[in-house]
Amino acid sequence: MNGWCLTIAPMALVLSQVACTQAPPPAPPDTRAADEKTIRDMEAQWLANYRAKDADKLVSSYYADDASVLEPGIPMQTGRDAILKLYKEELADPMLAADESIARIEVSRSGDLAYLQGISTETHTDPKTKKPMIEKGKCCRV
Amino acid sequence: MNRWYLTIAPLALVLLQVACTQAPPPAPPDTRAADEKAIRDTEAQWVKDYQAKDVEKGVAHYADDASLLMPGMPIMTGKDTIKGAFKAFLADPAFALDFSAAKVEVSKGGDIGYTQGAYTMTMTDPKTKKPVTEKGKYVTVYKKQADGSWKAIEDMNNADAPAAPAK
Repeated sequence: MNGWCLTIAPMALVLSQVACTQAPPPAPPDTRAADEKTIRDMEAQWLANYRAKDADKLVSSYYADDASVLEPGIPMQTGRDAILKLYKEELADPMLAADESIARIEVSRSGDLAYLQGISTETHTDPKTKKPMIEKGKCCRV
Repeated sequence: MNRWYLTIAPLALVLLQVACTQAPPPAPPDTRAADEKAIRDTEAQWVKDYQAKDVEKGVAHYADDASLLMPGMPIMTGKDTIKGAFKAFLADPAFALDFSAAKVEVSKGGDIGYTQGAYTMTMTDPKTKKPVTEKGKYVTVYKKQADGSWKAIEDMNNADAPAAPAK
């Protein structure tokens, strides 16, 4: 009787160790490629909304509630309302045209933070001459 | 003997299950607070390096493939290109720069972070040859390097308004 006990008890311990070590926790899934594609799709949609001059859709579908836009020549605009006001004025320009391409994009391993570097070409009305003015620029988005 | 066996075998199974369920894999450590502090310290040191007009130390805060996005000039990518730009800025006897982050955020994975803040820069106006001061905002994206340090990978800034005569 004692012999059985002495045989089974260590065996149970060994079994428990084997069972635990043979089932390591699965590595968290690497979603970076999928996240990158999602962001590229969002950028394409941003450009489509910008070209369609749809300020409401542009802001609601793209910017977080506490987002900031850092445009040259004016103070930083923070919050969706401020950004919406900015884009409503910008998109009212009848000569407005825009193109944009992504030069670099990277997503964090944990999939919660990403950034991109973009190259843009925009046409605006020159406030002085009232003629179209082409501006080549760059941007960084987080 | 058989009764003992029938008692111990289920007990062993229960023990096995308890052992496995009571030892869940440890959650990956949340290093965000420490990473945020490291990035704030990096920026504080960066300001000191520019104030000391030390180009080498100032540019050392950029990753090798970093990009600097400044208004009125094309994107500058790579440490050597960025160094060339800062050599010119720091050679200006009127040059002074201060910046501080209002917002710092780091990914849960601890590999990417960013800062957003305001800067004040004084330089010589190329037209009037007099010192002017520019106030603006910036976003800098950082990547954690293999040695654990944080280096800027994207650094973008622009002015809020045209530069005004320095006080």
